[in-house]
Amino acid sequence: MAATVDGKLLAVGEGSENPQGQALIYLYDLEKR
Amino acid sequence: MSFSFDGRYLISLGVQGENTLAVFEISSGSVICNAVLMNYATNQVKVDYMTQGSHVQFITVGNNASMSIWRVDTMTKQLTFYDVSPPDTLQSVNFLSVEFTHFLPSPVGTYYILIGADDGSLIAFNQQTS
Repeated sequence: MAATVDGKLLAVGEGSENPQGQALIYLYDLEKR
Repeated sequence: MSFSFDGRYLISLGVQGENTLAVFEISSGSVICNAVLMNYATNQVKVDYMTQGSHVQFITVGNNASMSIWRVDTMTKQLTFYDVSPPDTLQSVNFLSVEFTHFLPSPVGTYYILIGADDGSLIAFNQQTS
């Protein structure tokens, strides 16, 4: 997990591959919640 | 994962076993460059906020005292790296985490790269900046 220094974005990585064999990264816009 | 200082790029490490590194451009959501890492497990990536302009510099650390300094040219989307050779006394430890300290910011020139290892030690590297 990592956030930008201005606190606007948060990236969260999935801990393991999902059944489709993909490792996912979720990107959140913290201003829009 | 680690964002660039301006929040425009995100560097991620793939799941263990894949040993991939990807640089994402946030605005387009696409990978602008990537690499396959050396054989050792890589445990953390951290952007160096002291480097700005048209490139992003970051460090990866991992098992067997592996440490590499990377640079992305965001204009040409070229990725280059330099492997740092640790002293022999450190070969058997695993580097778990890395952080930069900015005790003496540019242009004074010297600051430290701090690395936490699995033997409980904290290692400080001196880095000379231009």
